[in-house]
Amino acid sequence: FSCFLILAIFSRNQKTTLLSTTNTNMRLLTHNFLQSNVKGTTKGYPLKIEATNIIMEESPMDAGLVTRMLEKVNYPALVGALEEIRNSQLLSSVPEIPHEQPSARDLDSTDDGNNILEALHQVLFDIHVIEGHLICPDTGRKFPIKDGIPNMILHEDEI
Amino acid sequence: HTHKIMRLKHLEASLSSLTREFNSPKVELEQYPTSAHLAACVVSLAVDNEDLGVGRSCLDLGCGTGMLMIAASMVDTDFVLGVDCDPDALDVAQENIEQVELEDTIQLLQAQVRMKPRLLQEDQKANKKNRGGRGRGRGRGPGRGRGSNPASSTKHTLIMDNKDGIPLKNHCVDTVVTNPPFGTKDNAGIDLQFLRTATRLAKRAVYSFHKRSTRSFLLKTIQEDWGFPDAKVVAEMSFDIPNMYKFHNQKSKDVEVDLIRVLVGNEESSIEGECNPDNTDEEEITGGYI
Repeated sequence: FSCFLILAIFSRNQKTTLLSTTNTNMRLLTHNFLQSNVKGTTKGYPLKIEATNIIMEESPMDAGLVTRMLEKVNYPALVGALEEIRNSQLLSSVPEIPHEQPSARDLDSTDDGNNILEALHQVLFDIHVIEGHLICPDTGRKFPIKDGIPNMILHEDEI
Repeated sequence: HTHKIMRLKHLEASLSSLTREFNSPKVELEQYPTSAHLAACVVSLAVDNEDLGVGRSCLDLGCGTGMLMIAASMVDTDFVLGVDCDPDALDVAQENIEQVELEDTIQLLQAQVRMKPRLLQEDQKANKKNRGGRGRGRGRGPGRGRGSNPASSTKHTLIMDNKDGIPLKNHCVDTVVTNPPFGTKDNAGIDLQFLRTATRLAKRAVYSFHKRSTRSFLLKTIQEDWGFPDAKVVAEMSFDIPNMYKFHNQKSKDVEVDLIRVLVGNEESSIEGECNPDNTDEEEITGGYI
């Protein structure tokens, strides 16, 4: 009987609730393209990030991809977003990237270049914002992020 | 040529395994899944035109359960963003993305393409100077005003700029692919709005589906009013869409559909692809409720 009891307790402890790790979580690359167009905004960019759940998930780097994406992003907005992630103190360590957009030469295949590229990769792709809000810089309107997906549907009077 | 057909078939096979259904499709959003075959065709065509693939970014406007965007990602498009207003559809899209392990290249956004409610005709005459003004058409909503026909009481006008409900900068992606609602649920003109929004979001090209009956009107609007001379039908197909027309007694209707490509940026010639009825055995490309 005691064996059975122990087994029962043991198996009950084995039942864990998996945390939601739906991996289509908002990355900083996506955040870089988002712009608030609530009625009354002048610029609506970049949106402020107020996160309550962030994780870092390593992924393999594609150097060509990072270089191409770098050409498409607004670099100051990326730096600003990273700063907000850092200030949230939700991650134990946050990568450092250059303050100014690195040139092609900065990203050459030296050790230094590779390190910068790796850091950029992590910042663009490996920081997952799962829960929180995006905030319009002009109107203060908060857009919730739930399960990694920002909800930016406008109310009728905001169009 | 054989190479292209192989890619098309491989892509279609990979997409067929997706749990593509909407859990309970919302009629008012005109939700129906894009078939694997259709998605494979569109994306293959786009790859031929160098609109998708390595070095390109893509947005699926009204992504639903994600068929088009997953196809775009499977041909190694750098960055793919899916936009839809329905959280239930996005849930299914997330499942599909995870099923094919493309979580790192596909991103999702919940947003809604909007149109501007237009004043009723009587009011339009009274406020003549406000016509065409962006901020003035507050609309009277359905049921109010003198019109007794519900279908005509919520007319909409196009929103031409970035106040169309989609929170993204102009020309933020290379290519936009979209299978828009056709505007049969008191939202007439929504497919035109989707197309308009797509042309501002894309840097390079837009692929969109529209009823064949609207072809000449559409092409004229795109080419003359919007200033995109290189807009053309690149494939013709049939959609099997159930219950789209209230006045039809049939349970479902075959809708003749055009795939339109609009060249938004600079480019060389575009190529007509594999999906024309002449080239394939299947004349009908179907998508429908499960």
